[in-house]
Amino acid sequence: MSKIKPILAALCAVLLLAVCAGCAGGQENNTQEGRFEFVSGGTAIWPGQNFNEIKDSLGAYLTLDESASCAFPDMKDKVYGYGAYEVYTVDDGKKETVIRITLLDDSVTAEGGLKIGDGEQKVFDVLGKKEKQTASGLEYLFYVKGKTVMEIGIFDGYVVSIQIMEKDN
Amino acid sequence: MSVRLKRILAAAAAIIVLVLIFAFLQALLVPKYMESTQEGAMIAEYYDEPVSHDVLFVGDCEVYECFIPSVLYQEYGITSYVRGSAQQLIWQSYYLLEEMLERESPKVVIYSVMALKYGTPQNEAYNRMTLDGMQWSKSKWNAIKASMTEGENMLSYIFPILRFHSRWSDLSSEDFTYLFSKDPVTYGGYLPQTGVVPKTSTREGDKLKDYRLPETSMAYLDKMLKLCRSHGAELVLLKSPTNSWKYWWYDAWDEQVFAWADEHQVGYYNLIPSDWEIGLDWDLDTYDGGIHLNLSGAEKLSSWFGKILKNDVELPDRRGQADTDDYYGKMAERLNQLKEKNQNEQD
Repeated sequence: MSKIKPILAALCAVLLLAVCAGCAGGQENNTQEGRFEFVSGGTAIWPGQNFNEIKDSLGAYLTLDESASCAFPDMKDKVYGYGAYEVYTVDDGKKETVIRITLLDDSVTAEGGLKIGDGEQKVFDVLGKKEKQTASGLEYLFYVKGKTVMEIGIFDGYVVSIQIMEKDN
Repeated sequence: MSVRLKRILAAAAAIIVLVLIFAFLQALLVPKYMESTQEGAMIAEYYDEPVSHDVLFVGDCEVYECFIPSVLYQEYGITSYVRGSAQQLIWQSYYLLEEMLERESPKVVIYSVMALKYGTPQNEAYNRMTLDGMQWSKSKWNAIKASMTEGENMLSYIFPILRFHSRWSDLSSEDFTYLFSKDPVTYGGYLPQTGVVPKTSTREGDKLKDYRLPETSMAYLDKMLKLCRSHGAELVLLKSPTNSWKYWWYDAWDEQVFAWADEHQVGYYNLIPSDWEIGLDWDLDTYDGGIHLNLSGAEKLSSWFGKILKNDVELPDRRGQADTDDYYGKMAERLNQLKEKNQNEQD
């Protein structure tokens, strides 16, 4: 019996390690789910990204709207307009984080070449068929990839809006 | 003295010492809001008011950065207080009002409707700035219960040291200077901003999926009306003249508030279309690009709205009363000193 105990203890330890490794492996699988991105001029932009890392590569913005938060003047919401798309960020004075990317016209494309003006069938072909949700007179399709969501507004069977944003917790 | 008695006294002394140390540490570690984020110091200042008020304002920055009690008094004899705070949610306004109506009997309560858009708890930092300054009461307890976000707990409000203990590494001279007492940061609840940043953005608010004002908010509005009427006060709803893209007042919301006000025979003033009439200059009268008014803008608005109030609501002219003349006179003088100081710094 005294010889069996150490063997049992060793087996338990191995099992425990295996379970923990499995858990860690599971977490790694989650991060490999990917995300929706928008690519402009070779630069990929995604929600949750540090905007300072890509700001210069996007080139000069055409418009910038800023809004400070009540009581926290260093905390600012910003919207950078680049003509065909805009990037919404939150800047807390230390880090500026991408919150949302909005496509504004059909000169730019999202996942699988989707663009404003496409028929909804193309959305289904690229992203899969989904039930539409209705809100404020428009129909919406929501697709999730990793921690990001692509929201596609549909009116009369055609894409009228495309946004990529963080998935709510 | 018996040994037992000595032990009891020693134990009692030890407990008292521990309590005192605890109280001292708590007083040291809680934020003072004197030099930065002064919004956190506003709510508590109400308790030092030496006069009662015919008008009480409740709400968010659209009251505390818009209405100046000394202007309302000196031009119209209206006594008022602005019990505002940053992102004050409607249930917080309700419980603050409930608390104030235990202490005084205003004729009019003015509520800023912008916060109706929030139907659920939002942000712990803003909660603390509104709630920590309230004296303990059933109103405070209920306000905290209604406001707590995920992760917050009542114990941290009862013992704020539980929330702010990590500030020990961020302590500054402000924490020691204002350990036992604070200076007033407001002027009857009005928090002045003297900067000038012109409004240049023409961006409008983002399209929403749902334009309905939350049921929770409208339920609290019903409660607020009932509370006011049970205390003989008239409720007035107000939307300030500011309208910036991040804090956009949608037509759909305006229609809902108008409909509610009409149904309940409550006055509602949407001042957005009145900016020209008020005399606001969006190049000069805002300190943050049109989100809020600065001192110059608030003076114009207070002067203009005071006339509306006098015309539309029966309010006594308290000028000539020694206590209010003295109090609002000193307030106006203090504000003038601030303006002079600001002018000197610019020259």
